[in-house]
Amino acid sequence: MHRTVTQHQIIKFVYGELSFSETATLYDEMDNDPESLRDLEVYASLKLDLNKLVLSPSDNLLKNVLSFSADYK
Amino acid sequence: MRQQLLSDQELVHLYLTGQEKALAMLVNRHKDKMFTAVYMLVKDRSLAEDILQDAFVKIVTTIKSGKYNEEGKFIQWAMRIARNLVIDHFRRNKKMPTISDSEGNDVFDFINVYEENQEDRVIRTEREDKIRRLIEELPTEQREVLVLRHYADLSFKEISELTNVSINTALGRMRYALNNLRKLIEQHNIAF
Repeated sequence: MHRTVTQHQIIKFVYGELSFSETATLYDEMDNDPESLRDLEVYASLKLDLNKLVLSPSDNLLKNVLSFSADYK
Repeated sequence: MRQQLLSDQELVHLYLTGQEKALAMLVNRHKDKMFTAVYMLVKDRSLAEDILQDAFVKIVTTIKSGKYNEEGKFIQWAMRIARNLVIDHFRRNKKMPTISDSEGNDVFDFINVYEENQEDRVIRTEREDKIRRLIEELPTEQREVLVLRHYADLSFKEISELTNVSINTALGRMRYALNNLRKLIEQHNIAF
């Protein structure tokens, strides 16, 4: 068994940047590449962790933007 | 207006016909993602709010003056504006963001806490605090790519154009960022 899939390909896959054909190729190659499968699990898990951070601005932002828009000629 | 059924593009069109409510929907839909991205770049809540407000002012003037180009996604265009304002800020102050240890805990005062009890809120805040601190430990170039890709939703191609590096370099920085995050999580024995 040797590594056939790069970490760059896996990251692009996790972030939805591979084409349909590239994704199909990735699936095929991963069948014989357990190391890449492990990387996929790690990156996908990290992505889920990063999703847990969502900050919000104050309510004034919306008010100010709408006020500016209403006054804009 | 059925917000979830309308695309960004449709909301922009409605806004152009004078429906201010469409702008409110656009802002509400994207403000958290944009604020998180800007905050993670500037690491100052007040500054991040100012930059985000300036970004939306620019978005309003561009759309209302008929200069909005419909090619590409609205969020990517909007994030590009916000990101350029971040760069302008650092240029004006003649310094780029550093990996300082600024605490800035009060940013979490502004997180939405609707329908959440006190215990849930504490757990969520602690979890978010851990993630934020981990990201802030990353070297600037890695943190920037991670924030732009993950929170600002820019593609690696767009990031490469914005930061004047090749796509491979942007991908390489993301790979280092993720691998370093994994190591930090293991080192600190963090569970989310």
